[in-house]
Amino acid sequence: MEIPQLSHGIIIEGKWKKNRYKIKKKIGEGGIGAVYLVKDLNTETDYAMKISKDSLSLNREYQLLKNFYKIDIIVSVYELDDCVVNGENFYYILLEYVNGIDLKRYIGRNKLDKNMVLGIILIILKGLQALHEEEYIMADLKLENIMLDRQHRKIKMIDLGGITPKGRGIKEFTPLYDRGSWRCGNRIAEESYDVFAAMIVLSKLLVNEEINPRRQRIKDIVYMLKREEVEEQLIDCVHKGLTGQETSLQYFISRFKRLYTLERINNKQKRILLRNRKIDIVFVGSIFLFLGMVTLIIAR
Amino acid sequence: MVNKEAVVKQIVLVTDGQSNIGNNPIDVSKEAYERGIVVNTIGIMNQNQQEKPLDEIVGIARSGGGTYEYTYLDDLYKTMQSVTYKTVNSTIQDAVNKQLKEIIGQDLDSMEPESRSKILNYIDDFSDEIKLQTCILMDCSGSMANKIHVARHSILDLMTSLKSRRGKAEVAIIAYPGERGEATKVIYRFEEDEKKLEENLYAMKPKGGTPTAEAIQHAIKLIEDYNEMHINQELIEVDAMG
Repeated sequence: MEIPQLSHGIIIEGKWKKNRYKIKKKIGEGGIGAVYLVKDLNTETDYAMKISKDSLSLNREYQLLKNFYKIDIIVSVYELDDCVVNGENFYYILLEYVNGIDLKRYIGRNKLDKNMVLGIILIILKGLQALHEEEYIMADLKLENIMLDRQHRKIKMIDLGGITPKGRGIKEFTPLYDRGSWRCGNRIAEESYDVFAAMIVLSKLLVNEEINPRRQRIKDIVYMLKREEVEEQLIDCVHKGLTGQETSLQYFISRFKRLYTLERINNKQKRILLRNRKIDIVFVGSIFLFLGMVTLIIAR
Repeated sequence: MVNKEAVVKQIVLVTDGQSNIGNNPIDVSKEAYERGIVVNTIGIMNQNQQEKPLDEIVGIARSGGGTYEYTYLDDLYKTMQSVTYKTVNSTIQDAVNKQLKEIIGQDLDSMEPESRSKILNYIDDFSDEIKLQTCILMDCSGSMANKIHVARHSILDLMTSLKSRRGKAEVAIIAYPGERGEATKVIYRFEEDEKKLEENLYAMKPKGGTPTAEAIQHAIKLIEDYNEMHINQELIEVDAMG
């Protein structure tokens, strides 16, 4: 598919609504088009503009996002319009700009501690649950599409072209997160499809290593988690989600909640222990200092 | 509007090189398109290959009214699926556009986005329901030797995916070149027993040159014969009922 190349400073004018936007930079490129950071010339607000030749796919995304404006984790959409670039017709949607970093790039540079990982997964699962209640499946859930919003300290899902009504066939997927590629089920939009993808996201966050359905099996993921010294309970959860033994999101939400709380208590205890040890050291140290001084005085 | 008996017919040509035997495949591809069969092409690139080498696949897709896609071997199965869905969508979109022009003298692009949306939603629904005939043309020339195993799995994976569509999807597979100097070999026929598919796929044995034009020609014939046979069958059934 043809992808429009727009350089900094170009002005895009909507064919129907006549709004004008200045291109600031390209922030992404995918199968159907490109995403640019733009500034609304009227309001000076920054937006993300997804621009493409595929009107069908953009229209689908626009309609869905409009429907899901209540779901906090999903980016908002504001406008659907056409534009002409170098004499060629393109379509665009205007999205909320998330100023942050996607999880894939983030874990490439930083290590997330387990508590944080569990927190992120819980937020994602809650978001998925809200989507499922609307009778839709996320389908193309992956690290690249999960943004950490620095400014608002939030998690946001971007690129929702994969969202599919329950019961339909899934058309957009990424092999690593697709249970069909792992031969762990078919490509039909149902809750357990998203559960599978979420468990892969979780595994990636925990082990931060290359995982590939062409070369590996589910048992290899379990092995990697064990090697990372992830606790049995958590591995059991991941395994159940990957093999389809448990399919309801609610099951995973309540188990992860428990694990998250445990982890936090653990961390707190560790901190208290550490602090106590520090106090001990200071205490013993001061006694020694005192004794030393006393000996000095006596020696005189 | 398009009725439910409508069929999208497509050829998906998978290759890692270009034609070196026979006529110009671009001409044959044009002929296919004129007969209502869309020709899509997929070029397999080697892992470290940066440049996009296969000009021919662009030409074949252009003249065949389809799309072309470059892919690494590992992503072949995904590409085969996205090409297929794209064909269905754009075929329906083209049909709708043509009808709209006849009825109201404008196409989708000249409609205001909100009203266009309604039609696009309809197209989206419809593309999951419409009947789809796909003939896969698999390059089995010598250079495919180390890729054919992944290609087999990609075909199997496509078949699995197509099952989750609401509409009927029929698939045939032709390997080119065929055996013993033949230009082509039918690996799997439309409506053949699915249990045989995996076994049949092992009959693809990469060896020899790349007769792309003849392969497309064969695909056209296979699709047309199959549809003709069906029409005849239906006529007989109608006769028998009458």
